Amino acid sequence: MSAPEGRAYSARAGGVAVGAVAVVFVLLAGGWLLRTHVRYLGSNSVAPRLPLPALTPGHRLCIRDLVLPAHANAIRLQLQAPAPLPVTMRVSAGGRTQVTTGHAPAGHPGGVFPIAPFDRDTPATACITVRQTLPSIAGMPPGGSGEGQAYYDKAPSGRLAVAYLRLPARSLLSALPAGARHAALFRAGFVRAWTYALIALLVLAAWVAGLRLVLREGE
Amino acid sequence: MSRLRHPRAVVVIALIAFVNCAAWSLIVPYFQAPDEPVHVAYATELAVTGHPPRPDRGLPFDDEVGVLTGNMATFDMLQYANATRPPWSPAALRAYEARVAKGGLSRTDGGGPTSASVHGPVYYAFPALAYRILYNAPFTDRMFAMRLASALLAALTVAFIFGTLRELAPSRPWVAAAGALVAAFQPMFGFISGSVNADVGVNCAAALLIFLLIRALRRGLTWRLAIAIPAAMILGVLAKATMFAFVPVVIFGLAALLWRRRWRWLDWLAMGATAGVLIAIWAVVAPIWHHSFIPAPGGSQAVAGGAGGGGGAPGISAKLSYIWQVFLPPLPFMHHDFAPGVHPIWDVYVVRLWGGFGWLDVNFPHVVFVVLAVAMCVIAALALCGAWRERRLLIQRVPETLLLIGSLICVLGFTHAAFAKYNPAAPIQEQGRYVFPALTVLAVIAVTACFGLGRRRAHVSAVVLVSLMMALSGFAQLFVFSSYFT
Repeated sequence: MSAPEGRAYSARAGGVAVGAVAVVFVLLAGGWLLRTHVRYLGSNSVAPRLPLPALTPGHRLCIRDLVLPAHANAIRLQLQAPAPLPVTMRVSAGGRTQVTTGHAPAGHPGGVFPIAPFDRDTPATACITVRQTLPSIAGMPPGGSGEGQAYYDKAPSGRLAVAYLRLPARSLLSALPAGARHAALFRAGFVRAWTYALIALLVLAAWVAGLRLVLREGE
Repeated sequence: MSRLRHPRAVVVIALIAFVNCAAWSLIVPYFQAPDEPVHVAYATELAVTGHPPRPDRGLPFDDEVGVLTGNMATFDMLQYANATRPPWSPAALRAYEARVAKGGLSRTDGGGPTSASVHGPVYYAFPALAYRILYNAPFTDRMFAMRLASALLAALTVAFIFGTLRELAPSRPWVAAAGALVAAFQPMFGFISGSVNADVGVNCAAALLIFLLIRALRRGLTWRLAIAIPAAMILGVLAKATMFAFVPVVIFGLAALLWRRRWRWLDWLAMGATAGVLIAIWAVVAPIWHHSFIPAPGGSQAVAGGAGGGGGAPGISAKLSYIWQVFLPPLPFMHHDFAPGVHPIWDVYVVRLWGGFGWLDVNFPHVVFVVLAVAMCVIAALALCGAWRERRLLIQRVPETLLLIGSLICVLGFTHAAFAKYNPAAPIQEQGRYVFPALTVLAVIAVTACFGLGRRRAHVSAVVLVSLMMALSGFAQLFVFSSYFT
């Protein structure tokens, strides 16, 4: 080692530095959790990977075997048109049919269709019709199973990318408990929603242990 | 006192790394890590049949893997986690459980070739062992156990990084702790180490090899080190052939040992015998398992290398030109390997090194990458400054320094040469995490940067650096969690 440069900063200074980083982290992460808004209640897990055949006036595209999550009050498809294009959707669920209108946007995929929510998960079929040709409908080619099988009139057409929304959007912070329930599915048997709170505590404990070690080893 | 503290410190560090990687393993949905289905298929085949996948078998996935990927819509949502979500409905889980309860899911109808089957079996033996331990448990439990096996190897990796730094700076114990923790909380390291992926194995082997070589240079060759060095090298190659990048490093390390005359003939005999025995065993086993004797570097390299190559293997000058262009703009005489506006150094060493999660479909917000890029530049500048300030130490440890620098250069060079492409329109195949076999070197650079502000401030700087890395890791875990589940 080269010549010493004088007395090193104390562990106390290190502790103050950790505190400062912690405050900045809490402010930034807290701001992000509060200012980020989420509206998903679920999806059919189909990627908007490929375009399905265009929908022309006089025909209809039906999506079968959907399961509307409880409290979902909108359905989002991945539609796109050269100019904003009104699209009519008929949703048959819970013994009644709702008619709703959304727009295929220009420039980016989207299309949100408001619906009346149900108190529980409800099987549904949704059919869309248009008055002008809808050129871009995103989803996956025919094949596979699961929600979102699309039928152009009565012919299989592929699978549409469908998302279920709850509007207005909630803060990310308020969505975390539901996120833990979602994350606990398809896991090892012991994993439940509370496991994620435990993980957060363990990671925090690991941080504290690591920082204590670095501070102690510097003494 | 320090004799007692050192083992305790390394255990604490390894435990911290394990907890962090285990957290990642519970955050990322099954199969939503890069190529995880094919790595799982390899490990399950090894666990069930005792041999790796074979080219003459049919399907790559057995029924259990196939049913879980199907019910989790793994391939439906592949690379689109930013536009859709995995199944959230308890009904979807019940449908999966009903299918499993119905029975008839074979564990032996997979084992066909995949992009992972080019790798040797060494890494996969660890998740396969975890699979065997929970053999009668549900497959979702065995998946978790396999991921935990990866987390355990990552903890060992971090322990080896700690050991290397301890050898380099024995009088400053905080250096080892800080460097190892910076590595442990690197977000992509944690993410990949919480999944089933052969990268975890090669990262561990490389960290071990660097530790052994540095220890031999510092303390002289012993018979234990003489056995361990070739074992780490050969078993590392049989984990993933990226380990071939360390051949020049090992040659350099051994040459430096010879030059320093810190060895006995018996040690070299032990080294040669170990290498010979391991190679002989593999030479017998590989043909029985229908595996190539020399593992290929990776599943997609051949495709990547040929992408737009126009036929014929590219020469060394073309590869050097490609490597140059990964980091710097092309010189006038160079063929342009990247399209205008494409910045491979940004894509590979900012986006994919720090925040390209999932199947590269869960990325940090752009502003985070900008901050990280600035931080990388600052740390690089501080590391140069720190190296200058501590130049006397570096001069005392020239072979160790050269070995570390050589490790980084060899890993970078090998990776980019293996993935070189000559069609500007072809996608960039390299991932930032491919540099993790040299994670030890990155940790050394990080702690060297702490000395850039002067020795008095070095410890506090290290505390701040570790805190920031933990904060980044925590944000990454929260971000990935929210991307899949909210």
